[in-house]
Amino acid sequence: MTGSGACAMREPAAALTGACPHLYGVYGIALHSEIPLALPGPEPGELARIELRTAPAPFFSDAIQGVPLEQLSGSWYEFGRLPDRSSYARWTGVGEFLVSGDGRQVVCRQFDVATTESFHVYLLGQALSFALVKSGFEPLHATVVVIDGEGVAFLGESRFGKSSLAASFLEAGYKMLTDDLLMLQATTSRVLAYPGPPRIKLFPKTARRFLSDAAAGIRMNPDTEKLILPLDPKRSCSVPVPMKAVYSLAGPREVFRKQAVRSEPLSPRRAFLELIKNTFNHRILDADRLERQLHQTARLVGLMPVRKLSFPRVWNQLPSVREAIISDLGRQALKAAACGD
Amino acid sequence: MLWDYDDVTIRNFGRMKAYRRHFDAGGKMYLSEGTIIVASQEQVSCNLGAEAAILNLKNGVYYGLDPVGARVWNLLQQPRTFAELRDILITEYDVDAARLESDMLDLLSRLAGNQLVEISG
Repeated sequence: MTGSGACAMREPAAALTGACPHLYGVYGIALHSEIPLALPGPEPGELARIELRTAPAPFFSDAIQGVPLEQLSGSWYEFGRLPDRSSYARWTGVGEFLVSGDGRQVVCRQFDVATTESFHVYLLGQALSFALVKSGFEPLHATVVVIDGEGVAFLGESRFGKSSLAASFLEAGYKMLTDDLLMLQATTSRVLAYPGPPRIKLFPKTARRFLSDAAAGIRMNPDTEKLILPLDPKRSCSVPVPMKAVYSLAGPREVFRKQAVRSEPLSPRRAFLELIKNTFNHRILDADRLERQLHQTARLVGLMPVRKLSFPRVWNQLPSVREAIISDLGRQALKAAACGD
Repeated sequence: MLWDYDDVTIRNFGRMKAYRRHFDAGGKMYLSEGTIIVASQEQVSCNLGAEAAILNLKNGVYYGLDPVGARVWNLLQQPRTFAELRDILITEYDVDAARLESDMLDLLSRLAGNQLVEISG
């Protein structure tokens, strides 16, 4: 799964000959980049290398000439599959991306109207997910905090409260591992979770409540109030951690306002389906990818507990949800220890 | 019902059309004792403890089966007649024959409807 000499990789067009002077580490990947990014340097033991280049508009228009683009009704996202297995994606007002068939190169262009921060969110999330899947990984849509040196992930659709819950952990001094895209790697006996970009996306109200420097946030895009907030090293974890548990959040409509926090284990098949539902990339659907996803996900289910978490969506009660989660983890650890005895 | 069943898709289009041959006009499945049933070639599956997950490679839909459904699914990894399947299950579960046959038809109907099994004869 690893490559070598990222800057010497196959190039989709002769024009892309510039150097990649920046080297970063994110999601366990070494990212050789033509552009500066707000990321730390790579950790030893990279899972893969990906090259990130920029290109002007004609490069993309040439590449997608004659390629039908898919667009869901009302969506500002367009996607196309090129004959050479490359994937093209474009977000209106943000930028466009071309990911090579082997996943080792991402070519990007930031649109003039986009802020750099917003562009980087899409680049290091949606666009990079194509490269990760093509490289043989199965990233999940999840937010992860670090508790006692182990990762605790929250799964759920947008607006289910993953980041808000994570913010309540930040307030209590816990670190964030990743917000949005989660890279997991199963070893023989455990699952490792890899750090994402050191930032969190929050609505202003939640940011003001849980983070003292909410004013530093930059709006993600014109269609949302959500802010991108950078996290300093005191609040972000930059090394891989073993996974402790996954909580799949019940949707806001599934819970009552006055309901108590409830956590229950999911059977292996339900855990499997929750992980599948929360795949980060829904667009790559060839049989090889799906079969790999089945087996990788089955392996994860055997190595880490997946639980359903229901809690009232009253944001000023999030600290008590946080404490309930910590208690729940303690109970599960005691049970596991008792079973080990 | 003897078994529980659920599914999820990461694709955005709907389900494939069900087989029609073994369904009556009301949509109820009918199988004779000698009808042969086997897992489709167009799927991959894995055991998850006592449960199972199946991926339909034709439409990208994932399915989950509880322990009883998973047992049926594992039996269908080789061709079996309806009667053979019923006779194995009746010895393994505390259930009367009529209820078992009804529940079998329900599960097989769902599996066939999603093109996860092939039915002949």
